[in-house]
Amino acid sequence: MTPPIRAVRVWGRLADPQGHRLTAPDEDEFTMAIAALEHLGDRSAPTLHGVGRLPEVFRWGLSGALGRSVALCEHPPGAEGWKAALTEVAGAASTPSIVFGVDGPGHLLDSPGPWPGFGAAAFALDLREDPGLRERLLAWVPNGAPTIEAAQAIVDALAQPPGGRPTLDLAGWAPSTAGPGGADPEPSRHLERWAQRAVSEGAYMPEARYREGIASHWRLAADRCPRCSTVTFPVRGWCRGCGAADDLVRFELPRSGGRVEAVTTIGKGGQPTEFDPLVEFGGAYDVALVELAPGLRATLMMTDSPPGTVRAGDRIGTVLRRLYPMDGQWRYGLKAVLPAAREAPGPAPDP
Amino acid sequence: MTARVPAAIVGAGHTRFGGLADGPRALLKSVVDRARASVDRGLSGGGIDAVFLATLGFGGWQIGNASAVLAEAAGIVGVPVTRVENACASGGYALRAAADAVGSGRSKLALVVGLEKMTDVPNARRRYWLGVSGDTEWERLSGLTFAGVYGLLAARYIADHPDAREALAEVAVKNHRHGLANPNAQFRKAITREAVLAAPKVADPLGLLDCCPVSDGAAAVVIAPSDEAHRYTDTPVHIVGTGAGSDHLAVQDRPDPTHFAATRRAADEAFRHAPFDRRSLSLIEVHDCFTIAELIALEDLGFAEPGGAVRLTLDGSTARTGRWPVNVDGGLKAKGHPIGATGVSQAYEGFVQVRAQAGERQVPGAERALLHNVGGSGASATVTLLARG
Ligand SMILES: [Zn+2]
Repeated sequence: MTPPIRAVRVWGRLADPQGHRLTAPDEDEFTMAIAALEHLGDRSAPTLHGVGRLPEVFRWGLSGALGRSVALCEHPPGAEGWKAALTEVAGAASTPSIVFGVDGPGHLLDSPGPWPGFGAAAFALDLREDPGLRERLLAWVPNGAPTIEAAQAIVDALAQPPGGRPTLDLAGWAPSTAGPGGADPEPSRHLERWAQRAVSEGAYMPEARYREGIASHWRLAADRCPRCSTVTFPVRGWCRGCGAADDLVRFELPRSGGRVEAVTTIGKGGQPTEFDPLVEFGGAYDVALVELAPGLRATLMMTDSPPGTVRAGDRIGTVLRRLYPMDGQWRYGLKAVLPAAREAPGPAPDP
Repeated sequence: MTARVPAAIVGAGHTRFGGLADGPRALLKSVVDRARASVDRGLSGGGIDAVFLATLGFGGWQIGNASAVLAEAAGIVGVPVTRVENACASGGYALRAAADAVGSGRSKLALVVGLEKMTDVPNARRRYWLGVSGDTEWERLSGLTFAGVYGLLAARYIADHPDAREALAEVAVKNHRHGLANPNAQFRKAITREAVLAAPKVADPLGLLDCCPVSDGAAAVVIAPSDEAHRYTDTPVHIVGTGAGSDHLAVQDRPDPTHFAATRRAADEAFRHAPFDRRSLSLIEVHDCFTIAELIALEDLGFAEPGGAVRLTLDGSTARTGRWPVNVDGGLKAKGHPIGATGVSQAYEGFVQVRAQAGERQVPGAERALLHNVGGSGASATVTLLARG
């Protein structure tokens, strides 16, 4: 039997005893929520319950990132939000629910950092698999725990055997603004500076063009032509082999397993203006020409690995991350990660 | 198609390249004055009746209608003006357009001007403009400028041809050595392979000394029908072949990322009806915006098999005294690369070399030149063949 509570994933700038990962400079509440939701997978069209102050991108970007239409219920931050979300979940006996909490600064462009508990958590619940869960959800006693800690605690509490008390005790838990080992919260200040800087000299990508490209930019969507069998990636609305625009079959290239054909390490002066902070902060970054599938390539920025560590021939995976801010909003896209970097962080509590 | 584009260069001018005090109007006036003055019998036999201006409009100064503004600066008002923009290949394309205009009989005397003013633009804006001609949807979003794209190509090329790193350094060393003899060059300073290899990396494996500089400058040529060229000079330089091509903008969309199909197409077209073949060329001007670009160009132009440009470079074949002198004016690397001016500057070099007026850098007995101009990382390219009458 599938456990009723499946896969909690918690990310955040936390110094918690479980060693949850710090956010990378290009992560935020949206990319972390997407990562958490992807980790849970597609469970028969669940309803999403979002707890916390959700930036605008959640309103249109979830389906873009997940490749399916998603029903989203928004709940206010904090204890009331969690209570409301769990109550609604308890009432949804016939469909599974995914609950995620985000606890970020909202949009970095208009709020200061650093902030405690910045991150996202998500878990899935299916009352059809454990009717007793309903009672425990309704019995949950809210307290004032920050979002991410609350998510973890809720799961811990709900996961107790029937009869256990589904309450939370966060008394001994102290959110910290420092990373493990007392790391300086510099990344957040750095991000803040980046966001506040007007990127008037960045490559201008109108919002419409950006959204138009999301299928391929976020999910590696490709089109197969029924006439000539050519695969077109990135998608452009017609077949690049024969020009046919009808009956193209949309599919997604594998998100992992791409092979690095060539890699360059961009140092000072080699970066486009909009990536200046990346070089100021990290000194350099890698960009790879990746063969995603035979004959189909993409240039992808590497992330989560120190510059200079990627080699031609390496296999990579892809993750959705922040690119840079434009027109007052963060722009997102896939970046490449080495598998080791992808698997390493955080516990994998998927039972 | 005619077997010979019946057009000839009868005059040419060139400013210094580098950080110049002059603004765009002053540069244009100065270079057109020089081109006019270079016409041996003057332009009294006929006035300029068409202007082709090659410029990216770097920095955003007068993006629209720049041709009219600049032609006026040279005292040319009233004639048709056409701006040609194909990034760094603007000059080569303008040259071809002018040759076609003359070849069709529509123009009896065409002026081609290449111009860019880059150094008066603040640093952040300049780097924005250096990227405007690349693919903005994938390459730019992945953190690449042209240095990065060529860095990827260089990494791939070195993986396939292990001696290539030395050859890349030698391209820079050789072109700087050539630049020493060019009074118009931005850099007149010899460098060593060690210095190239030790320079800070901009887009590994490419370092600072693998990259061409940011430059101001202008070049101009005057083109007349070949059969009327002797009204202007006894030594016209004929345009005996032109070719052009284009390609997917993003390297990721090309079947073979390390070669430029646009260059290959342009070379095939240019040589198709040319009265000579590659072996009889006296000098070659290639588009060496980054050192790797010179190696790739030599192969795409048909002077070497894939990987063969490494040997040509390391054994001295491409030096001024070698079998195929390449970039005897210093190339983009040492002479400088004012974007719109580069393709026209190559024509200037071909003109003065074939007329034996190149001074210290003269290739003895030069009769035939090949000019190769590339837009961005290979999205557009031209090849032009020049020959003595
Ligand atoms: Zn097709």
